[in-house]
Amino acid sequence: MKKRIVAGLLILCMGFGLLGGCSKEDTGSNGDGNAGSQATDQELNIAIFQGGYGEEYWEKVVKLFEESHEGVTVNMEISPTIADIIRPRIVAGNAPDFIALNDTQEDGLILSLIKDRGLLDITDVFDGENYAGTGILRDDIKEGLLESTKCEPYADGKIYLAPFNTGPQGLIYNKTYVSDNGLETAATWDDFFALGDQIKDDRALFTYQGIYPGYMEEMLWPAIASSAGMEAIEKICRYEEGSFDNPEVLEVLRNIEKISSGGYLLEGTVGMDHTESQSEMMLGKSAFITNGVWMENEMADAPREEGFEFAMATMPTNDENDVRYILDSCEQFSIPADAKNPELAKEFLRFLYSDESVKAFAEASGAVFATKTGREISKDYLSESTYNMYGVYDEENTASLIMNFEALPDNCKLNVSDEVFNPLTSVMNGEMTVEEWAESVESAFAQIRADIEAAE
Amino acid sequence: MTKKPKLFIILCAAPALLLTLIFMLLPMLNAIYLSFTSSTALKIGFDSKFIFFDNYKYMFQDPYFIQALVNTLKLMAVVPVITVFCGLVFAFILTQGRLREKRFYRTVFFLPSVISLTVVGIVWSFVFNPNKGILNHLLEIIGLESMKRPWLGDSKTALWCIAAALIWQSVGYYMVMHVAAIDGISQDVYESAAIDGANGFQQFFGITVPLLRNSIGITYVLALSGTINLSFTLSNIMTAGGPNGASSVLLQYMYTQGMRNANFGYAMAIAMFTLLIAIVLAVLSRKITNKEDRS
Repeated sequence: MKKRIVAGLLILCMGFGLLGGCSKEDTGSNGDGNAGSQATDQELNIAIFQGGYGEEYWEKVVKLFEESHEGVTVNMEISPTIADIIRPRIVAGNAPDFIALNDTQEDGLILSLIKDRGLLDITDVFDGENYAGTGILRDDIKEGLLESTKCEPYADGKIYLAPFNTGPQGLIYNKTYVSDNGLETAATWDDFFALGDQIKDDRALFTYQGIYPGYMEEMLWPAIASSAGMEAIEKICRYEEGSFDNPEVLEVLRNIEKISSGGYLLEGTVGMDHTESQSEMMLGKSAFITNGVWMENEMADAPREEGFEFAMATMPTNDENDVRYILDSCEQFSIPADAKNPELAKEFLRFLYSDESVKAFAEASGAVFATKTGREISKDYLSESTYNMYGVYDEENTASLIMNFEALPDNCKLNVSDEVFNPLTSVMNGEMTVEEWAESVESAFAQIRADIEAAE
Repeated sequence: MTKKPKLFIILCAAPALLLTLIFMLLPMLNAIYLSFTSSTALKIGFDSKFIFFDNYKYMFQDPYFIQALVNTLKLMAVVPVITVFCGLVFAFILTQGRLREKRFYRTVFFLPSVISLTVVGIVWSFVFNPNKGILNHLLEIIGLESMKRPWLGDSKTALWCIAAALIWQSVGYYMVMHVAAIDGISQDVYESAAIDGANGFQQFFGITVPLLRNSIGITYVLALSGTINLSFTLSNIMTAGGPNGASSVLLQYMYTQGMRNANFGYAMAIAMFTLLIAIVLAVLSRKITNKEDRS
């Protein structure tokens, strides 16, 4: 008898274990009892990627939208693995109406939608009125974004992706440490290395997110833009021959290599992931790290040295009078071409740029929407240091840089970010020279050019 | 003579057969078909072009594929041998040795194989951490500071760190299988050997290994396929493919091509090739270990 009870309890436990697989995915009210003709017009299915900014904002903005739009039900699915959830649905012809996911994500879903022309043309949303009815939406959006390939992937003047939030990425440092020790952030590469020599006994100069060398885009592209100009960047974005293996770019690569060969790189960096390198920097082992404004929020619970205050500096340039470029991040929204309710999705998109939504985002996530007034509207909700980091654009002689890589053709087996940044680790380890690095990028570009030609 | 209840047997086996057909056989046939097409994430199967062996041709010229293949072969050459050998040795000590804490050791050694592989990867990432990991600290304590290095970031050691985690995870599993096999050997054999003056070493190589030949063959094949499969998870978590691909493995490259670059056709070609290697090696291993039995 006792054995039976024990066996029964064990089976119950296993049963409860199965329930562990159930997770809260679907939020959104189901108050609308009207089935039938009204239902499809008034139901909006949205799929949201749950990243560093969390879900609080989305829950709030969904509620605000439903409150201001009578009879509308928003069915939201939010998850860190949203791409895996909606990919089979898109393939089966059951795409959501609205997606919040970036083209830079590991899952490559938006990239494949772009490659396959599976997104809806939303140029009309931006050429039309904004939500408040006070003007054209295009004029509200931060400059430079809508024309970049982040929003116009085919460079044909048609917008397929809408900007979500945008922010500068640069050299993050501890303001308190710099001011307490009478230091100055470096304007040029020479200053940068001199600073490294100065603080050598106390801490390393620089670290980055080792096993994810892609973060170094925040240093590489602005450095190339500053020293070789925007034409050089544009050539690289078109994968042109000789755009990477030339003297100006090689000089930038050499400076980056010098960080390691000159002993300025925090020891062990290449083996660290993003959380480790970021917390090492906050604990005072390194003066600088490449990152974006999300770092303060992301590392909110991480330990840090006494009096740590976030601040951002621009990347070093060759000459102090060079334009200081700042790489912008740009997260994206999109509407699938075969969404069932595109008009309502467009209305939702308009709503997301309203002041209420921008404020809700700043309050919940500590970050700023990609609108011209975004930073000021969000001021009350951002921490002082985050607000200041966004202000890096106000510094002298700065310019915003958005990488406009030409869309890869279908079936291209290469990933541009991997091709450019994976060799960086070998260079930092002293296993590859910068010439070899440039050569390997050039041969990747040659392959991409061949694939583009073959696809035409 | 009892009548065989044929209908009953068929009815009982039918659900399992159906599930195997739907969830294992059909997807495999689909994968074989896809490997000959130019499928992408959104244009799968009949929506895509049939390109015959183009994927395979590209594969053998693809330097990243070759790198992943070489890394996987290196792992397959080293990990199963060490795992099975250690499993055998531990099994021998546990069954023939006179340890009192046998049950405790059996549990402790087996535990790593029931832990989620993701957790294993994360734990070993911490062990190899350049600043906070115990490996570097241990080296410091015993005075071998010069050997400290960023284990997972160094292209010479990244792959072998994954091998270490793989071995640690699976030794216990094969040890238990060998314990069961050794239990099948009659104690009289060991006793008479002991009477004849054989020490533990001689007993191991003279009795255990020859008599366990079949079991060793089976565990070796299992370890081979385990290496191919499990190395993906560990490589993904511990090194994300390692410094510039130094620790990338076949299945991981397949995942990158399939999930990140959305090239489903190419990914399936890689999968088919991996399957081929696994089958060839498995057949070879069984032939070698079965030879003695037949003669």
